[in-house]
Amino acid sequence: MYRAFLRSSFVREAEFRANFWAKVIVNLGWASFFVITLKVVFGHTESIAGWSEGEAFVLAATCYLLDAVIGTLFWFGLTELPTMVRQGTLDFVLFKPIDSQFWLSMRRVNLDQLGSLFGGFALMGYALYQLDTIPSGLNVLLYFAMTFWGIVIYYSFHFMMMTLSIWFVRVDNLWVLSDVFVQIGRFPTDVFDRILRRVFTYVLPVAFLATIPAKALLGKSDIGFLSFAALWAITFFVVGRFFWRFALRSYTSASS
Amino acid sequence: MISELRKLRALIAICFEESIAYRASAFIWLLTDTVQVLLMPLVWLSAYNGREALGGFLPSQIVMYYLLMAMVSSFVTSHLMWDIAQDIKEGMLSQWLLRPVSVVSLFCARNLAWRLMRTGLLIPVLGLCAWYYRAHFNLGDLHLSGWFWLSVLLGHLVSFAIGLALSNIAFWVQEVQSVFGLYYFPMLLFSGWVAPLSLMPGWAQIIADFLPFRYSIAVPVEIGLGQLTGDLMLRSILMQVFWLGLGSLLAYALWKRGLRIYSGVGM
Repeated sequence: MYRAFLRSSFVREAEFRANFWAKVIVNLGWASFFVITLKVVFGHTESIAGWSEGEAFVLAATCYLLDAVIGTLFWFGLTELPTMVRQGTLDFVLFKPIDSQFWLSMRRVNLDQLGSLFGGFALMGYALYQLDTIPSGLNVLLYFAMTFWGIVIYYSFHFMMMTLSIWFVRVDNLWVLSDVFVQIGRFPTDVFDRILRRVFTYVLPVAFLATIPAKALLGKSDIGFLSFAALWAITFFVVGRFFWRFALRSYTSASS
Repeated sequence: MISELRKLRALIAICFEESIAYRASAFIWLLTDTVQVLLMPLVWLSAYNGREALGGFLPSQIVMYYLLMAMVSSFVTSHLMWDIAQDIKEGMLSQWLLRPVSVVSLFCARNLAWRLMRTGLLIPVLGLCAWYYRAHFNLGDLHLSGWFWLSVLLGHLVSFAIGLALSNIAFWVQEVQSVFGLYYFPMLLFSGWVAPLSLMPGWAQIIADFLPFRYSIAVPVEIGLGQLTGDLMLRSILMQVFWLGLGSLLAYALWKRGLRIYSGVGM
């Protein structure tokens, strides 16, 4: 099933090749925006809340990887959900003999985000070169595990925000909520005071998106956080699924 | 003249009601501004590491910069090209062209109404931010003279004129979204939105001097913080007038040419 989605996405991109490369470049440009912001601040100091420039770049790179994975696999399919609700085309999805969440999430593979993926890896390489460290195998493993749970949290959050469109039919920018969620995640949560830091760890798990994975790679996180991240991610995923089921009960098709 | 003004006032009132209907999405857009005013000062404050000042900025000055910048940029920054471009593409423009008011005053009213509402919504949020930063909140840093208000108004018009000029691209280009997307990159970077321009590297300050963006956001903010005074202030305000003129001229020329090829899809 997923292979069919992938193939149709490839065909679509191949049809608009010039536009495709333009989008890749625009994505890379936006990715560099945050790096420039960091460069401006580090032009005046040696560390932000205990994060050196190289370490902050590891964090930024983690964010790009997260963005790239989400952007490639899920973002565009899910972000069409509010439009489908408004136009009533969601009905066709619900009639299909396939899990509606799977169909909505996986249908569109967006390859122009791959530029951000390479950008993320390049930045990561540069950051590690600047820090002059090679992370141990265990830390790399921990990093990818943490990042995986970060992706699950991000995905579930975005899915829940898009699900809101069932009620808020006229609101056309719900995706901005997910964007804000990640925007906060770009900065190390250490810049917050104690209360906000707790909020962003235990209530709205922004810290698990990038701060905690980046700390894991730098060997500053203990392994106990991994089970905590997994717990959070699975909870978010399950809640998202229930929320979708619940929302569908109040869905009144726009077309009929 | 009087009747023109009365028309404009009625227009603003209508557009204001219209924009209130979209308050939910306006509130969501507001969050993106909030993230910037809440996070950037925190990042800077975490960068002092015991220093008294950073690039000449005391902690309170950094906080006040972002608070005032959020306020100014929310009133000043025009995003109307998205709407106008859509009107052009879908043929909705015809509907405006047939009305008894000039299209430009209509767009101006629409933009002003939106900006007023966005700024109004932002005030309580900024109040919360100010409370969060109460340790560094210092009203004494603000110098809201008549020059400041004049500069804010000019900044609003500069951004409006540029937005208007940009929207015309939709007459010629189909996929105009990516062009607009590109516009925000230099706009945010060189307008003082990311950071006070004086904290940016030298090359960035030079580029900013030659672009219109600092004349919409950074100049009013720097005047409001008392960082831009005397002759330099007057020269900056003159530059705002210059960019307003250039932007309007460009918008007018492109509009005239664009209308000639406008086909009014769907008529």
